[in-house]
Amino acid sequence: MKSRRLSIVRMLVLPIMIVAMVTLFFGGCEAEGEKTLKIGYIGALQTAPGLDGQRDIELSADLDNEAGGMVVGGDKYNVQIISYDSGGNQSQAVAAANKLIFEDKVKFILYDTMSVPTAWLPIADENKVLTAGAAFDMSELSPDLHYSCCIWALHTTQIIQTAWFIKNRPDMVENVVFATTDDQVGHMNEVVVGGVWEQYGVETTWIYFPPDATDLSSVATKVKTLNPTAFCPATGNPPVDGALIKAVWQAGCETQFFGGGGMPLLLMATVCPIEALEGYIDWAAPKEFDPPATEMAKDWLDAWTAKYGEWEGQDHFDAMYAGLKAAIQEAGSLDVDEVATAIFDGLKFDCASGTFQMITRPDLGNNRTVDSVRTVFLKQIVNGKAELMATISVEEALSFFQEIIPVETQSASEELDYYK
Amino acid sequence: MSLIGQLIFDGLAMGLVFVMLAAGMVIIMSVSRILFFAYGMLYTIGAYATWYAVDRLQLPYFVSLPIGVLGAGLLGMLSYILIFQRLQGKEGGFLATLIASMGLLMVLSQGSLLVFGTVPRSIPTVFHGVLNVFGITISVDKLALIGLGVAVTVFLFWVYEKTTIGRVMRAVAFLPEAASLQGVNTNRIYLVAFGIGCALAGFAGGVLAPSYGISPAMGMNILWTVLLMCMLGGMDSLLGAVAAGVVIGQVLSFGQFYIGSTIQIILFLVIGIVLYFKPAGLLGRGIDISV
Repeated sequence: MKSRRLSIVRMLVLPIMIVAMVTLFFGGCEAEGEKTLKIGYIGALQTAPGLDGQRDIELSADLDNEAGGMVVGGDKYNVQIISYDSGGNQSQAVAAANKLIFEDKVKFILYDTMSVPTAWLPIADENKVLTAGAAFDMSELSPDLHYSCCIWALHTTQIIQTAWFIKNRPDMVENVVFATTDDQVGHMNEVVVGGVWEQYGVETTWIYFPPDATDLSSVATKVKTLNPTAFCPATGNPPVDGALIKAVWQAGCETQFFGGGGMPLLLMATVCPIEALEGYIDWAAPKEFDPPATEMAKDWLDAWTAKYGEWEGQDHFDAMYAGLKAAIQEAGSLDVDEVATAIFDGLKFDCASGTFQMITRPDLGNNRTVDSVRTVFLKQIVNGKAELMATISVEEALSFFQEIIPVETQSASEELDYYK
Repeated sequence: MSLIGQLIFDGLAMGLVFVMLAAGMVIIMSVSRILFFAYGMLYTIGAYATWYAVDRLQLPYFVSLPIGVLGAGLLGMLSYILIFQRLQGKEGGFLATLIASMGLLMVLSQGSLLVFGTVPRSIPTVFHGVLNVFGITISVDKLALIGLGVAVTVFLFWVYEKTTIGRVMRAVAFLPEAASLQGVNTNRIYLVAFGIGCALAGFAGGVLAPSYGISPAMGMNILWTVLLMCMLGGMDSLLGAVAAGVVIGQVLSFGQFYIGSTIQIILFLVIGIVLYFKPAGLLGRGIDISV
């Protein structure tokens, strides 16, 4: 009886031990052999853009990891996102960059617009860390920085949309009024966007109001007295833009509303009655349409919903990760110089937000392809829904942009020598 | 004429709808002598709590509003018990409470972002429509808010002046030591002041949300306007808050129209001049604060 019990124990325990040992041995080998690609993210995590950027980048990494890892030169890498909060202020942003560069030893950093990049981009550049993001003042496009770029077309999309309006909607552009906050973003908008309108011979009126204003009645009264053919809220902040449209609509001003920030309807409608938004025009992310405008956008939306729940109009930053991934894969290496060469050699890539093409910025003294243009999906609100009004392909977008600034899709050949 | 009338109405809308917020701040500041920076976040939390009840729990708006009021009031009282009661009255207490209120502001700000998310929210408008009176465009929701702002202030004025609790609060605000010697439990009165003040912030958040929307930054945006109103009117005067609301609203409305956003600088200058000649504000008695 005793020996039988023992044999039962042996029968149960031995296989378990063998399985455990095999698992430990091979599992351990796999863990040891697994390659990891660390990508840093600096975001103002107490703001919507910072958190939305983090979510999109983490989702992109998850999708790659679930597929077995990012393929680089025949090897598969598990992608690890290391995020730090910039707090939206200079000292914390610099500390975050220092941690990523010197402690975590990342080679690539992505960042949002709120993370004061001007303060720490030179540190990253000096330590040969490739950075992709955008600063409101376009300082990331400076020719003095050799490892910095804007992959997600933040600075160019509104310009392309403006050029399209002027050519396709002449009725709109006789008397255009903008309202924006009296801060850096507002004044940059007037310089960049107002400058484009001016280049086409259209004069625009800009109304500024304090950034902390809650009630915008007097701004609306001012807009109404100007009797514009089109009105654009240009704060870059969806709730404030929505509040501006609501105030102007409530003031009884009948005009064409349009936007330049690609604000999702879902966000605008949180502040503004949907009837006030009827006819509103803006560019849009392809996932905003029902059904989404592209297959990639549909897949992205499904993945987003599976990870975070219902999409409620959160901002879209997938292009940042997708652009970096495209460059790494084109380089077939994690070597920073090779990845930089891929970006600055006129990288073109597809992602859920559309097709992106890197371009030079000779107007900023930069003859490397540091900036980008994208497919622009234009929406109009019809019966309370976002309808696809026009699709400006990346090639058309490029030619629109080239009418204003003579950009190229290839860096000047001597520019790439730096990375050899 | 209709333009002037429009600007006057716009000014009233800008100033008076925020009077209830300023009134809550005045109650906290005058009674407890704490410059409660986290006040703006209680306004935000009141708005979010009301939204949560309307949108997620599917409760009617007028049932949801008290939830926001209660939530903000209780949170204010809790913060007083856990933080400010322990710092108040000690040497350097004013600065300690000031720093603590800034810390609380940061904690509540980040916390609400994590709990309620980054997306702005809205509550369907309760009062619909736009009126046109003698060429002046008046939105019904703003008209209702102005009326509500005035009604709340009149009610608070009555409570403050005519009821026992109001008299006790005024006594504590005037001379806390003397009130204490008369048997008044000053800590309890401070707690009540925090409760009423923060509940008012929550109420303001709930009633302003259908008109102005809800976003994580709304409390920070409104804080400076409210502080300006309190400073100009007098940190200890409810009537002063109303007067300051009217003055600031009109200056901003006309100034924004004719001068642009530079009017803010002029407004600060005007307030500076007023405070130079009347340091306690337009209708304030002045509060002694030992730093």
